[in-house]
Amino acid sequence: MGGIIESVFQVVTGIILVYFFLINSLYLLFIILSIFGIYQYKNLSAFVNFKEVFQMPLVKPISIIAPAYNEEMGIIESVKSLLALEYPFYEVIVVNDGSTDHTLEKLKKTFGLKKSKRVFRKTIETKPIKGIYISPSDPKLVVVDKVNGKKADAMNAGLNVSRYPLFCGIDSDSILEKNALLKMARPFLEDPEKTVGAGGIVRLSNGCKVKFGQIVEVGLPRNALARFQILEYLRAFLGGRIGLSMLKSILIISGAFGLFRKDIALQCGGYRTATIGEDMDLVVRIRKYLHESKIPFVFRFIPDPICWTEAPETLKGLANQRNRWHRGLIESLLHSKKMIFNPRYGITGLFAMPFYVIFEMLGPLIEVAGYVIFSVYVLLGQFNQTFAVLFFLLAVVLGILLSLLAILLEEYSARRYPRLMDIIIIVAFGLLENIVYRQYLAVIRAMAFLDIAKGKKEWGETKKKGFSWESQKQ
Amino acid sequence: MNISLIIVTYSLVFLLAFSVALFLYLILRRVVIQQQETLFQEKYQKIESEILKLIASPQQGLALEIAQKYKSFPNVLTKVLFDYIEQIKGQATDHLKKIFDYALKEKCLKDIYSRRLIKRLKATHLFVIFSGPSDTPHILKLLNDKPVVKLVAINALSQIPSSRALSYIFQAFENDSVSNARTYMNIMYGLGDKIETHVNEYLKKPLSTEKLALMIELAGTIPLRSLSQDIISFVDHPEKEIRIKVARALGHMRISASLDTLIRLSDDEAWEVGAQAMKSLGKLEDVRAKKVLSKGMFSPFWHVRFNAGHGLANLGEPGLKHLQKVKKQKKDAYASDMANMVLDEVFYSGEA
Amino acid sequence: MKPQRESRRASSKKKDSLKQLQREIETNMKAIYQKKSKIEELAKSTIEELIKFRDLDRKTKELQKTTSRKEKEKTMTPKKVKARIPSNKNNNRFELDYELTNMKMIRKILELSTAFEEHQCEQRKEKFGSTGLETNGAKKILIIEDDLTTIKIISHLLVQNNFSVEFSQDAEEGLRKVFKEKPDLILLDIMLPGMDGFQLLTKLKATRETSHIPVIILSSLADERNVIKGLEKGASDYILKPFSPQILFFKIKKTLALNNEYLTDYRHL
Repeated sequence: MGGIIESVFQVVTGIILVYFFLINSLYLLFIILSIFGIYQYKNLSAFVNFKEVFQMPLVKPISIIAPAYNEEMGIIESVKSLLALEYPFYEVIVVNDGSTDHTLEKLKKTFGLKKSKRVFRKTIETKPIKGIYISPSDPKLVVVDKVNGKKADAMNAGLNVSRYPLFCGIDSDSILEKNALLKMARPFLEDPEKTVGAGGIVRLSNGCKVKFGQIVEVGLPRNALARFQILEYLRAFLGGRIGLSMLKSILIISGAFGLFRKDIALQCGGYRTATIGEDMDLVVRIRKYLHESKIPFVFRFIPDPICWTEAPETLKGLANQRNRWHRGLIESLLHSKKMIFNPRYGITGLFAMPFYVIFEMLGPLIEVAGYVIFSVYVLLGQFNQTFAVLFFLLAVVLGILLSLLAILLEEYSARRYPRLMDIIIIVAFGLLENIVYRQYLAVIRAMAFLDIAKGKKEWGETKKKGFSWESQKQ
Repeated sequence: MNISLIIVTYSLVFLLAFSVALFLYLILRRVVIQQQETLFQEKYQKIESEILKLIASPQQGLALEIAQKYKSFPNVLTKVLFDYIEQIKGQATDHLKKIFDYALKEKCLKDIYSRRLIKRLKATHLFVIFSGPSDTPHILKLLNDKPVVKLVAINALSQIPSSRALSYIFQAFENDSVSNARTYMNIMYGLGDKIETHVNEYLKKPLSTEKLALMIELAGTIPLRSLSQDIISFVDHPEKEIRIKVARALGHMRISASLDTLIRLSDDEAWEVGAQAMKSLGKLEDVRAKKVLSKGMFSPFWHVRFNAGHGLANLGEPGLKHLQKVKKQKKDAYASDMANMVLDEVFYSGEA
Repeated sequence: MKPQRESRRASSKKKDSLKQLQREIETNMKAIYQKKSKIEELAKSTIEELIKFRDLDRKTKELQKTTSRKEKEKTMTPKKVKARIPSNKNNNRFELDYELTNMKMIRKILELSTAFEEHQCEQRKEKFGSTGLETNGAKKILIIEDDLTTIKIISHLLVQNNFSVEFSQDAEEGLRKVFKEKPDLILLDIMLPGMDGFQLLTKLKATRETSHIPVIILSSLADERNVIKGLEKGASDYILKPFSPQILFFKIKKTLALNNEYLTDYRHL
């Protein structure tokens, strides 16, 4: 009996080891690809004048859709910064998703909103719209007031009201750089037939000085959780996403800033309200649709930091966010499960989907299983403890290696952290990460499976801090 | 077990050493780059002040002086030149181009013929910005390169006002794939009226639908009014795309003689053509179109109603009065809503 | 008979002084032409005088009617053909008087305005050590633009030509600087952080203290609608980016010359 249990354990350990080896090799591969990707992008855009878009005859106008729910703290600042972007033609649609605070009142007061009799085609069903407002002083702004229906529903309402062929989904606390639209729209200009969507690097705005909706000074946040997250984002975006885009396997374009073609999105039925990870879900479904219709397409990724977002600084906020992300991941992948290992869906089916399912989705489960088994072994004293400790250290060191490579990528590409001390702190946190933070996140994400089984649908609260009104200090 | 233990230990030691080395490299690199950066900035500011003087009061020989002085700092010089040439146009750019020619052109030309695509492309971008008519042979050579490079070179060609260059551009357009067609369009648009004869010629050729559509669109946006008759001749083309473009181009050209053609197109079987025709009729601002526009308000298609509404608004008083009538009628709620919206927008745009 | 002889001599004298006054006023007219407030004052005073004279005029007209009737009766029978209305002469006197008084009024206003300017100059000299109008009448230009390179190019060009340059990189600060520095010309970009360039322009043109400052828009927004909007809102000119520095410079000088109260001869520059 004991022998069978032991051999089962050994097999499981073996699987975990192999899994672990594979995932790290893949990440390493992505980072190496990312180095090439960044090199390519830097050289190709070195002497490109992005502003020549202003002189072109046919520019694709963009509708920026910003859903807002209880954002009274930072909504005015963020809308003002959206209205000051550099792009010849665009509109900003703020969708007030049934806020219970003074978001709408603040908007009405600041921009002198008046009721508009705007008529639109209801291409996608959404929760009822209570009213549409326009601002006489800012003709680019449109505010849609509707009954609460979560982010996907708000985005769909925005899609219905929007008038332009490209739309940009944005979080209402995202800060965009001034030339963000210029850079993101460029792939659509260079390759208008095939480009279907574009995403960029998202960085954390915690600890950065913001003035008039622009990042004026980049700095490290003081909050420890935020510091952990900085490294995470660096690894995920610089290391992971660029590499994936080189392999044509982008499945997620962050909801914080993504540019898509409206016609394709509408053909796929817009955002799916039943899911909580609507940004990933949209990309996956677009890929599915285009593969099925045999239309060649490409998703582009811009390795330029053009979007900054606020990360949660409380444990509860972080837990909610990660839980939500993982539930969204699971839902989106399961919804389109027929793509997995299906050659009909090209590289999406043969590589991207399986990668996400095996390594991103099941990753936390296997990681947690690994910890459990490790602790069992330790308790039973049945295992070569030296080996186990060494193995654990190996995992930690590999993790640190990946983090260092990600930081190197950041140094090579954008170098936004001006002080050397910042880098050293980030590295230190990279070391600390492996002690509690990583395990904590793995547990949270593994619990997401339980929540899905329970049928949890909520969004969870994240407290927003809002931005510092630097100008008020003057 | 022992062997795996040894492997693990060795790999651990290796990885650890590698990580430490990487960390040290990171720090070192940062320090070095920061120093390089300060030097770069210093040089940049020096060159910048001289260039600013040059732009402000161009003197003979000043450009050459600058080029000679800073020839040994190609990176900084390139960056300064690029930053400044982006902002200005006209005579002042000639001086900047002179500096480029003297100090940086050699290297650039070498890079253009380099083996690696990325290096070539980067150099081509730079070359194109600073090129002059004397560089035509180089640009022509680049045209035989990969499509990415080719497009950039064609952009450069468009700055050279010779008919040979123009015919080349059009030939390349004809032979190239459709996906690059838009880039050609942007280039051709920049050339303006000079391309009229070429567009005329190409409209008569048997081009593919997409390319023909783009030619028509080009004629419309520039606009090349003398080609209006040729455009009108496409009104019965079987392809809906072409008819849409015809309607659109006629709208841009604003020739009152095209009124009948547009009225015909507004009744087209494809609603997209009708919608576009409504928009163009609105641009003509011709009161005779009022009847057709008002009929368009009752179309079952949103876009047709939308364009018809705005078209009526463009007609001025008679149009606005008619919109008010449509708003009040009860038979078609969609039409009345649309009229309501258009009137509202006109009101607000007047205020803004 | 007596009053007529008197009036003839007096009217010729008055005519001369009138002509003199007219000449004086023409030379100084341009100086007060642009001063809206002065014109308002002028209009007000002339209207007041007009009203005064209207009443006087009515009385004299009645007088004239009675006198002319009498004269008509006298001269009616023999010389009907060459009947020049004698009331002209009488009218002349009153018209002259009225015109003369008006001109005197205008001259007084002119004197006042130049005295006022001189007084201001004195005050500025006391406060700042300079009138701010030396070195060929150096003009102050305010650039409201967020791209540093453009600011550098333009300010270098202007400073080299003896202009004094201020700049601001966002709209709110720019607005504050306008009120503080009172520039002679503003170069405005449209895409600014904070407030839109068009909104800033509207604000400037709506405020009395700043509405007279000419604004040249310098923007990448090339679309016709934007150009028309800018010009409609009161900009003197709309220049597209990328721009030619020489052309911009000449446009600035021309706009200043058109708006100038102290004419500077720009032809030699």
